[in-house]
Amino acid sequence: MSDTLDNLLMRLKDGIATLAELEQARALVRSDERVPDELRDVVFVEASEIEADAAALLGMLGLDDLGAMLVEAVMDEIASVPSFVDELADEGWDEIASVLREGLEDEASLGVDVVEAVMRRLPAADFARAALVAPAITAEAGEVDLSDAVLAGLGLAALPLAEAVRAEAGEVDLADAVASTLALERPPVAEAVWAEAGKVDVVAGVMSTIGVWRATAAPVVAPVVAPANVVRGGRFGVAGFALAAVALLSVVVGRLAVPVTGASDLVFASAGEVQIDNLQVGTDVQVMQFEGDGGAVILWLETEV
Amino acid sequence: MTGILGHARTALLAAALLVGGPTLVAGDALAAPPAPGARAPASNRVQIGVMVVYANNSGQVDPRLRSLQRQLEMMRFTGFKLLDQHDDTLGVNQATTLQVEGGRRVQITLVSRDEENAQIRVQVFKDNEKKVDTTLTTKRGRTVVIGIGKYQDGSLVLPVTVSD
Repeated sequence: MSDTLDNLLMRLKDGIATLAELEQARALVRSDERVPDELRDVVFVEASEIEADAAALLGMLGLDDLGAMLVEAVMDEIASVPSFVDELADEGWDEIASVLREGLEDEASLGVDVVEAVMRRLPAADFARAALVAPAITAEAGEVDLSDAVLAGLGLAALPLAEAVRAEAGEVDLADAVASTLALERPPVAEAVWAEAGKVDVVAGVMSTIGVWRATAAPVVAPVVAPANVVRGGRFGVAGFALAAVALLSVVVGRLAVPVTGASDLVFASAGEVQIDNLQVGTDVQVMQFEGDGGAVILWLETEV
Repeated sequence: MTGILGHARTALLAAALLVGGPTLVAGDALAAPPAPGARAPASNRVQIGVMVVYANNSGQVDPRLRSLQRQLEMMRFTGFKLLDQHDDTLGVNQATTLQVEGGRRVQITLVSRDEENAQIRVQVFKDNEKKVDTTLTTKRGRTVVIGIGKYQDGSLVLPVTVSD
């Protein structure tokens, strides 16, 4: 029975069926289980829609491709819709319409001419805003991070760029390049440090900071010059011993609270622990005595030797 | 300390040198020295330690002199190098001699000693000519620094330690 109905529907769709075949098709539709109940009484009612109803039933039953019929139906419907574009579009619209049409046709790649239908249905007022679309898209694009999408498209995982840059930077010495760009010679830091280290005594500072040095030994002597030049002839049987001139005998008195490295257990005598009992110097010797705030005494004799 | 004591020392020193007479020796109060040549008993002997230090302005400090640096810097030098070290044991009236750079010779004699102090005589010769002759009394176990003249770009300094 199904085959009979199917054949009748084909003939009705093609417009070659007889009235008897139409009546037979109506009877079979009412009894065929494949046809929904709501359709059994509404098809093949209007004489002008016999072919369309047959085509629709064939499509519903999976016996025919409805695409062509639908396209034709759509086109019939479109043709019956008044065109707003024709009424509202100006000369500029023709150019836009042409571009859009080409684009849509390329994209659609269909035999269906939906372009015309779409274009007809687009209100001209909306297209007047089209000029704003491009800038809006541009603006939005500026805020869109495409990197992940691009990396994904290239089959690459998103890279931890910051870490990568840091890692590379750790191996790249930019100093020379920067100095060169600035037309500067790279300072010889190491050499400078060594040179300065040779002149700078950090020991005293460190010792002072940790409190190893006694306060009495710290002050630098403020010279209290006490010239004691004396000519003492004949003492040694030579004309020679007088006080004047240069070279020296100096006595420095102070106290050191810590043992001397390399000269163990040295402790300097304080001012009260040393007494100059006698001092005789040659004629070319000058004597001066200094004393510091810490009680240290410096007896400075100079000779011209 | 810079006041009375300092000026008193200066005046004392100047007076001793100006008068030129018998040397004012505080050590006179010490025990009388034994006869020359007599071997002092062990208890009367002292240890004499002398370092020869070249003080200059090189900024380089011999690590062995770090503890001396603060004292030596009082003489306005920045560099110190240990050239030699001499140790000896002396009885009263016994002397020790060391040759020092720059054609110098230093002779140190123990003049006397008591339970606490020692009196030593220091003589400095330059090309066999005596340039300095001084006697000083110091507490034993202490170090006295003596500069003995110019040398190269600096001076020679002798830290002298008298101990038991």
